[in-house]
Amino acid sequence: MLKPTLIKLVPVLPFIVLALAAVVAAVHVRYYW
Amino acid sequence: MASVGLADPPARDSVWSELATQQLPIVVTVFAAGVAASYLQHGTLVGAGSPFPLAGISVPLWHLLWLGFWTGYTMALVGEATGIFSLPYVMSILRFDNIHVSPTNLVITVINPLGALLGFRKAGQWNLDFALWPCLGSLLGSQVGPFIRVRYLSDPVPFKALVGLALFWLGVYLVWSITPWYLRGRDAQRLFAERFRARAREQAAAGKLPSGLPRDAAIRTLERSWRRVRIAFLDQEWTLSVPKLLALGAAVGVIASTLGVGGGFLMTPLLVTAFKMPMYVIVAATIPFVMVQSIVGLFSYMVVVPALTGRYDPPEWAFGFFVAAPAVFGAWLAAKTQRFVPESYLKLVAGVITGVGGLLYIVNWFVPLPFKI
Repeated sequence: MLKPTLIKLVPVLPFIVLALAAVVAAVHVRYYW
Repeated sequence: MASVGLADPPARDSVWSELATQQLPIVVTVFAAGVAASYLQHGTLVGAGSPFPLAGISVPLWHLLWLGFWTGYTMALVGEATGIFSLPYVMSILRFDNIHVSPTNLVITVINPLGALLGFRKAGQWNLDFALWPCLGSLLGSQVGPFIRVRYLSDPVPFKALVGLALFWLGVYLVWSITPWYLRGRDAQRLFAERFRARAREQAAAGKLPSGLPRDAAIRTLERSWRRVRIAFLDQEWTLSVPKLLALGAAVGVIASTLGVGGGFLMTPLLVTAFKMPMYVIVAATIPFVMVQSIVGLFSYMVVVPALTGRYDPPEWAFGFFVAAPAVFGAWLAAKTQRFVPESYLKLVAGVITGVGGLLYIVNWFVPLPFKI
C-alpha cells in the first residue's frame, strides 16, 4: 500500500517541495518582515 | 552534480546502509558543528529564539533546515548545488543581505557537495589530473573576488544586480538545456546517453539491476603534462588544454567568490561547451572545484582581505552549518530519485523561477521596484 503511493509520489515530489517552499516563504514574509 | 542519475542504481538495502553509514553521519556532524559554532561565536543558540547577530535577522531554526533541504534537493535534481538558489532566498526572503551573506553562503557551498563527492568517488567519477587545474586556477581567482565584494559591491542593490545576472544566466541555461537545439549540438553527450540507456536495457533484460555503466567504469588519465591532459571514460577520449582549464578556474573563481557561491552554475556549462564532455565526466572536476573555490574564498574573506584592508567580515558560521546539514541529505535524496523525476519539466520550472528572479534584481538596480526584493 505504502510502496505504490511512494512510487507515484516521487516524480511529483520536487514540485510539491517547491510549492511548499513558496508557502513557507510567504508565511515568513507575512510574520517576520 | 547533474549526472547523479547516471550512477549505478544500488541495491535496496545498500541505499539504506549508505544513508545510515555515509550520509547521516555527515548531516549530524554538520548540524552539531552549527550548534557548537553558535555557542562559540555568539554564546547562545541562534535561531532558537535568538536573532543572528551578524546577519541582523531573526529566523527560526526549522526554517534554515527546511531551506537547506529544499534547495539542496531541487538544485541537485537539475544539476546544480544549493548555493546559487539559497543566496537569493536568504537575501530577499530572510532579508540577510549585508556583506556577511557571501562568506556565509560559502560555508554552505563547501559542505553541500560532500555527500555527492563520496558517492561519485565510489562510482568512479573521479580524476585528480582533470580536477587539479581548475582547482589551481581558483587558488588565484577566489582570492580576488572577496576584494571586489568588499570594495565595490558592499551595497546590497548593485550586489543583488550581479547575483541577478548570475541567476538570469542560470535560468536561461536551464531552459536552453532542454531544447532540441541544445541537444542537437551535443553529440558526445547524446552518444553517451544512448549507450547508457542501451546497456541499462540489456542489464534489465538479463534480470539484473538496470545499471547503464559497467561496475568498474572509471575516468582514466591517458596523458598528462603542463600543456594538456588526456582522459578517457569507457571508449571515449578528451584532450584538455591545461592553460584553458587554469584560466577557466581562475575566471569562475573570481565571479563565484565575489558572489559567495560555489561556481558550478558557470563551470558546468562552460566545460560542456568548451570540451564537449558528458555530465558524468564533468562532475569529476566541478565538485572538487566548488569545494576548493569555496574554501579559498572563505580564507580570503577571513584572512587575506582583513590583512590587506583592515576590514573583517566573517561568516555567520551557525547559519551556514544549519543550512548545509540538510542540504547534504537533499542532494543525496536527489541522486537516488533523479531517474524517476521528469527532468525537463523541473528544469523548465527552476529555470523560469531563477531567470525571473534574476531579471527582477537587475531591473531593481536600474529602476527601484515598488516592492522589497
